[in-house]
Amino acid sequence: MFDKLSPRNACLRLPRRRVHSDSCLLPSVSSLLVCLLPAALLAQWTPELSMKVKTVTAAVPSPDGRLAVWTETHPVMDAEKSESLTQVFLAHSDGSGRLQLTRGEKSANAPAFSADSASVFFASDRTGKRGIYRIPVDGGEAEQLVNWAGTLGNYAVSPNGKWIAFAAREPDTAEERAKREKLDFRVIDENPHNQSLWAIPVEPDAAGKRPFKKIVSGPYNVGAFDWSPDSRRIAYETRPTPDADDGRKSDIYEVEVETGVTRPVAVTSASESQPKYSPDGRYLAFIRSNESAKRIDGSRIVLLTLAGLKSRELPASPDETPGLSGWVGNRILFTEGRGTRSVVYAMPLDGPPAPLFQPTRGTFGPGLILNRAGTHAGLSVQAPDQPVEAYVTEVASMKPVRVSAANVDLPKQPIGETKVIHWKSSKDGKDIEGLLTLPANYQAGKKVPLILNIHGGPAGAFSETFIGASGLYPIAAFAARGWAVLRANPRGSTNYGLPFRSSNVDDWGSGDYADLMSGVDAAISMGVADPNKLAVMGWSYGGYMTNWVVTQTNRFKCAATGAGLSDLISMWGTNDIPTTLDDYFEGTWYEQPDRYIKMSPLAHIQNAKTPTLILHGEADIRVPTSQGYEMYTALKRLGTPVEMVVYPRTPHGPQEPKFVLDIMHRHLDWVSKHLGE
Amino acid sequence: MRGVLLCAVLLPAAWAQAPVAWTPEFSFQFKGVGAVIPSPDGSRVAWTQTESVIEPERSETVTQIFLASADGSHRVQLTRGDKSSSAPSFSADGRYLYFQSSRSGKMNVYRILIAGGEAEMLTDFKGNLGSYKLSPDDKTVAFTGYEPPSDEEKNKKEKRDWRVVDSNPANMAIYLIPTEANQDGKRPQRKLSDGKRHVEAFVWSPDSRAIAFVHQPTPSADDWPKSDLAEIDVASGTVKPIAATNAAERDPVYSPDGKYLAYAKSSDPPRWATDDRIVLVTRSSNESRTLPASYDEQPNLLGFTADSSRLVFIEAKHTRTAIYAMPVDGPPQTIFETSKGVIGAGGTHLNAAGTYLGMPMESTDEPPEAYVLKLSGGAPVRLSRANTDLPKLPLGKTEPIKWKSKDGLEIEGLLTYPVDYQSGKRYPLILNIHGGPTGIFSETFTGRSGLYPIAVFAARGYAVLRPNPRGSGGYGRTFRFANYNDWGGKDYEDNQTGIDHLISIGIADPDKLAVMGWSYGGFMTSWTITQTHRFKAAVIGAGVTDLWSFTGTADIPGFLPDYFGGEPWTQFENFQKHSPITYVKNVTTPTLVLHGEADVRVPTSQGYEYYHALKRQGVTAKMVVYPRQPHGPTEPKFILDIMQRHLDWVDKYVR
Repeated sequence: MFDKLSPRNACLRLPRRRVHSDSCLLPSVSSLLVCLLPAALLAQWTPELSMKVKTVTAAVPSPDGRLAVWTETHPVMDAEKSESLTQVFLAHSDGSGRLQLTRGEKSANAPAFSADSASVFFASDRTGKRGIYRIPVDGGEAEQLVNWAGTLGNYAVSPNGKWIAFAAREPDTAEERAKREKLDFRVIDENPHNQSLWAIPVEPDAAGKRPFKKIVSGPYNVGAFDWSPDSRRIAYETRPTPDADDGRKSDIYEVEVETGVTRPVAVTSASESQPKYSPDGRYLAFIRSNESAKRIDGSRIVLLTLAGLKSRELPASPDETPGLSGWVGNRILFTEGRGTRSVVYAMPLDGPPAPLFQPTRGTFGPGLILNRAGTHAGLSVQAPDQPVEAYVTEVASMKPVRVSAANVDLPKQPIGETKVIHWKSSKDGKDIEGLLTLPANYQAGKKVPLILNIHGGPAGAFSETFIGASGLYPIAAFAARGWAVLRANPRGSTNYGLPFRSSNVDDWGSGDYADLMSGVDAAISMGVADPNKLAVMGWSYGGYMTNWVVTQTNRFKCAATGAGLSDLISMWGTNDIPTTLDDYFEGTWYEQPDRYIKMSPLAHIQNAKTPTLILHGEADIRVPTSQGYEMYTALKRLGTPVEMVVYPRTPHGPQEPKFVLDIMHRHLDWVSKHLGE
Repeated sequence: MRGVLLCAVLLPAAWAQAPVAWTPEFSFQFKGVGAVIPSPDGSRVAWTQTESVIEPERSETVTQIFLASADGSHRVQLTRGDKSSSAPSFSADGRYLYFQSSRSGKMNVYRILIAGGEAEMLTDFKGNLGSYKLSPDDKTVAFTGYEPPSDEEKNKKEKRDWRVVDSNPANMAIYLIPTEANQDGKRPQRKLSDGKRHVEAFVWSPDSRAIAFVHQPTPSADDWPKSDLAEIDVASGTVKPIAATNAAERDPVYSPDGKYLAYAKSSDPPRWATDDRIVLVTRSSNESRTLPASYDEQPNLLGFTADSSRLVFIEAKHTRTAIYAMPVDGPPQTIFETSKGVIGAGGTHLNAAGTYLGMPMESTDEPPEAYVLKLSGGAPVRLSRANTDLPKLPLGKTEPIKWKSKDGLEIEGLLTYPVDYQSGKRYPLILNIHGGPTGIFSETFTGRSGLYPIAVFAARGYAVLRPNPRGSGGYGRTFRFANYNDWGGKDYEDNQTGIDHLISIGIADPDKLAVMGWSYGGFMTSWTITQTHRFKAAVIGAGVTDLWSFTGTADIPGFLPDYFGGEPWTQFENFQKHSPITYVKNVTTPTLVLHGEADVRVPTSQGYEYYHALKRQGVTAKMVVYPRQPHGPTEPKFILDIMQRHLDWVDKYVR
C-alpha cells in the first residue's frame, strides 16, 4: 500500500483508504531529447534521469480476460508547463498487441472495460472539464458520453453495460458569482462540497441524448461505490462532508437505482468503506474499522448477508489493514503490506485468510484489480532495481505476465544494491527492519556517507520500490554519488502488525527515535556508514522526526525536513485531520497539553545546531506551512544555519514536476554541501 | 450650495427614502480625509478625500485630490478617474501640484498645473514605486522604488517560482528624475542609492543638495529596530551616516535655514512599546543633543517653524491630539490642542515654509474634514465639504469616562450612550477593545465605516465602552509600558473594572454584555472569555491566541520576545501562561472568529487554533475567513459584512 515514498500516502492519512493508483501522479518519462542521447553520456543516475521513469498503474483486466488496460504517466516540463500527463494503454493479456489508446495534451485516466470487453471507458479533462469517454478496443477515436459542467469524481459502468454511475457535484454558480462580486468570504465548516451519485445511460435515447439521473443526494458526500451483479442496486459510501477528517464517519448505504429508494446497510460508529458485492449478489464485503473508528487501530473485512442485513466479521489479516480487491467465486481477495513488500491474500467465507501470491522479488501495489468474473487480475510490479510495469495474470495460476513496456528502454545505469537489514532497537530490543541502499559499485569494507531517510505516516512504510523513480528523495542519485541510504521502518510503521503499528501511541520521539538511531548505529557497525558523514531527511511525519532528531543529537552534519510538524499544539488547531492526533496522543491537545508540548520539536529547539533545510508546500492543509515557518523562525533566531524554500500552489505532496525536480536537487546539494562530497 | 430639498429631489433610487437611523450602509456614505498640505505661501491647501466604491463587481476605495484657497473658497476636485491619486505636494513656485497615482497600471508620479489642464506623467517606473518628494528648488523629483529581478516574471510563467524565504528582499532604493523633460521629451531616471539596505523614508535638504534617509536591512516589519539615518549627496552619491546606533532612528527633518537636522530616536535597545526622544543635530559641527521628552514619548515630527527656532510635532494626548513646538533648547510647548475630537496625525503636514499646518480633524459626532491653521495664531479654517451635506442622523453621545482599576490606577475610556438614552435605565453594553496594544481609542467620528459600527450599535440601543487600559498610547511612557510581561493581567482588570463601574452607576445591564476586538483587541477578547463567563457574546477579529505559534509565524517575530523578556524557548512558561489558548477549556461564551486570509501580521492560523478548540468542545462557535484581506480588511464589501456580523452576533446572543 505504501510502496511509494509519496508523502500523499504519508502523515496522518486514513491508512485503510486505498489510494487509487491514478492519484499517485508521480511523473515519469520526459522529453524525447534525452532519449536520443547516447547512453554512455548518462553515466549515472540523476534526478533528470529519474524524471524519465514513468509511473504505471495496475493493469485492469477485461471481463473476458483477453485484454488489459493501464495508464502510464510522465512529466511535461517544456516552456510554461509543469504537469503530469497520463495516457491509457491497451494490450492482450500476454502483452502482445500493445498500443497507446489515448493521446493529446490532457490526461486520460481511470480506464474501465465495457461489459462486452469491446470498448474502454475513461475519464479525461481534455475539454477543460473532467468528463467520461468511451473508445473501441479495435480502432477509432473516443466519444464523449458524460459532459459534466461541475466537478466529476469516480465512476463505474454497470455489469450489464447499460449505465455509467458517477459521483459528482453540480456547478457552483452561487460561489462563482460571489467570487466575481468580491463577496466571497467563507464561513468555515459550512457549505461542504458534497458529491451526489448520478447516472447516465451508456446508449443515447431516441433523441440522441443521455439524460442525467440523480440517484442519491443528501447532506452527505458520496465516496466509493459498487454495482450489484444484477445492475439493479448500488452500494455506496457516505460521510458527512468530503473533509478528510470525516473519513472516520464513513457508512454504507444501498440504493435501488430504478426507484431511488435507499436503505442503510452498514451504519455504525465504526467506519465502513470499500463495498464489494459477491458474484451471486447475496453478500456484500466491506472494510470496517474498530468501533471508535480510531485511525491507529485495526480494520477487518466484514461479510454482510444482504437479505436480513446480518453481518459477520471475518478473521483478522496479519497487518489488520486489508485492501479489498474483490471476489473470486466464494473467496474474497485482498492485499496487504507485509514488511517491505506486499501480499495478495484469499479469504474463504469460513476460514482465515491465506497468502495467495507475492512477486518473487520486489513489491506490487497499491492494489490488485480483478475483473468482475474473478478470472483475471492486474497489478503493477517493481523492485528496487527494476522500474514499475503493469502485469496481468489468471487468478487460477497467479503467474503474472508483463503487459506494459513503459520503462524497458531506460538506460541501464549502474544502480546501488538495496537489501533488507535488521537490527534491535536500543530502547527495548525490538526488532526493526529497513532498506539499506549501497552506493553504485560499492566496495565492501569501504565506509561511505549515510543518509537516513524517514518515511511519513507515521503508519507508512518503506517498501521495495524502484529506487530510480522520481520522487522527493532521489535514492538512485544518492547512490550514484557514493552515498548509502537507510530507509527504516521504525515502530509505528504499518506492515508489521497492529501491536507494532500502535507502539508509538503516546510516544512520538522516544521509541521511534531510538529505532532509527539504532539503525544508523547498525549501518556503522556493519562497516558501511561513516559516522562523521551522516545526513537525515524526511517528509511529513518524516519531517516531524527530522525536526525531532536535530533537537536530540548533533551526530548528523545536516538535515532536510519537508512539510514537517514542529509544534503539535498549533498543528492540532490548523491541520485537516486533528482526530488522528487525538488517536495518537489519546486526547486533544488541551486534554493532554503536557504530552503535546513534550513531543513537539519546538519545545526542545534550543538544542538544535544541525544545518537544516526546510521545504514546504504553500497550499498544504495536511501539515500547514505555518509548521515550517515556526521551525524556520526559531532556528534563524537561534543562529543555527537554516534555509527555507516554499513552493506556491503546492499541497502536502508536491506534484508539479519542475518543483519535484528542484526538491530532488536541493536534497542532493544540501547533503553535498554539508558533507563536503 | 445644495440645500436639503434639492438633495431629496436628486437622490438616486437607492436613497428614495432617506434613512432615519444609522445603518452600516449609511456609514459608507462618509468620506475619509487624508493628507492636508498647505502651499508654501499658505494661500492654498490641497487635501485628499477617500470614498468607498461598492458596485456589482467593484469593492474598493478611491482617493482623489482636492484644492481650495486657504479661506475655504474656490474649492475644486483636481483629480478624477477610477484609480486613486494621492500624496499631493506643491511646487515651491506654487504653480504645480505633484501627486502619485496608479492610473497607468503602475504607480507613478504626476504633476498638474493648478491654473488648469490635465495631469502629466513624470516618472515611468518599471518597478514598484513607493513614495516621492519634490526638491525644494523644484528641479528634481526623488522617489523610492524597487525593481524586481528580471527573471521573476519569467519564473512565474514557467512555474519555476519557488521562494527561498528571506532571500532577495525587495529593498527600496532612491531614484531621481528631473522635473523638466530634456530635448527628447524624456526625464532620464538615475538610481541614487544602491539598494543594499531598504530605504524607508527620506527628505530633501533645504538647499536641494542632499537627501536624509531612514534605512533598515530589509523592508521586513521586524527590522524597524535596526533603522539608521544617513545623508546622501545628490551630485556625487556619497553617503554619510548621520546616526547608526543600536537605537532606531526615524523621521528626519531639516530646519529651513539648513542649520539643523532633527529626528526621532528610540531607546537603546529599541522597545516595541516605543519610547522616542527628539534629537537635534547641528549640521556644521555634527554635534547632536537629545531634547526633553514629550508627554507621550511618541512624537511625529512635522518640521521646523519658518525661523528655524522651533521644531513642530504632533502627538496623541489621552483621547485627543496636541501639536507642540519644541524650541531648539527645549522644553516642548503646546501650540494647539483639540478641545473635542482628534487630528489625524498621518495626514497632518506643515508647509515647506513652516507657517501653516494642514490637518484632517473630526470629533465623535462630526465627520472628518480638512482644516488649515496658521501657526502664528488663529483658529483652524475648514476647507473641505467632504461630509457636510450628509443627513445628520441621531448619534449616541460619546464622552471620555474614568474609573479606578483593581490596583487603583486611573483608567480612561470612551463611553458611547445609546441614542435616546434615558438616565436610570440599564442598557446592553459592548466592550470594544483596541489593538496594539499601544493603540488608543480617541475621539474619532463614531459614524464612520470601520469594523465596529459604533453609531449603529448606539442606534440599536446598545452602550459601547472603548477603554484605554494600561499598555495604550496617549498616556505617557510609564502607562504604555505597564503591560510588559503581563498581557491579560492588569490590562484585563482595567477593562473589567470599567464594566464594573458602568454597572455600578446604573448604565450597563450586567446580564447583557458583549466583548469584541481586533488584533491585540482580538487577543484580549479571546483571553477575556477564558477568564470570565459574564459576556453573552464575543467576536474575535484577527486575534493573537497562541503566543508560541504567533512568534514563529508572524512577520514580527521580535515583538513578543520584547514584551515577555525572551524567546519562546527561554520564556516557555511565560508564553504559555499568557496565551488565551492555554485556557480554552474554560470558554462557554458563543464566539465568532473573523480573520483575513492574507494576514501576515497575525496569521489566520491563530484564528483557526482557537476556533477548532471551541468547536470540538461544543461551544457555540463560527469562523469567517476573508480572502485577500491583510491584517486590516480593505475591501468595502467585506468591511460591510464584518460590521453586519458584529451586529447580528450581538443581537442574537445578547438581546
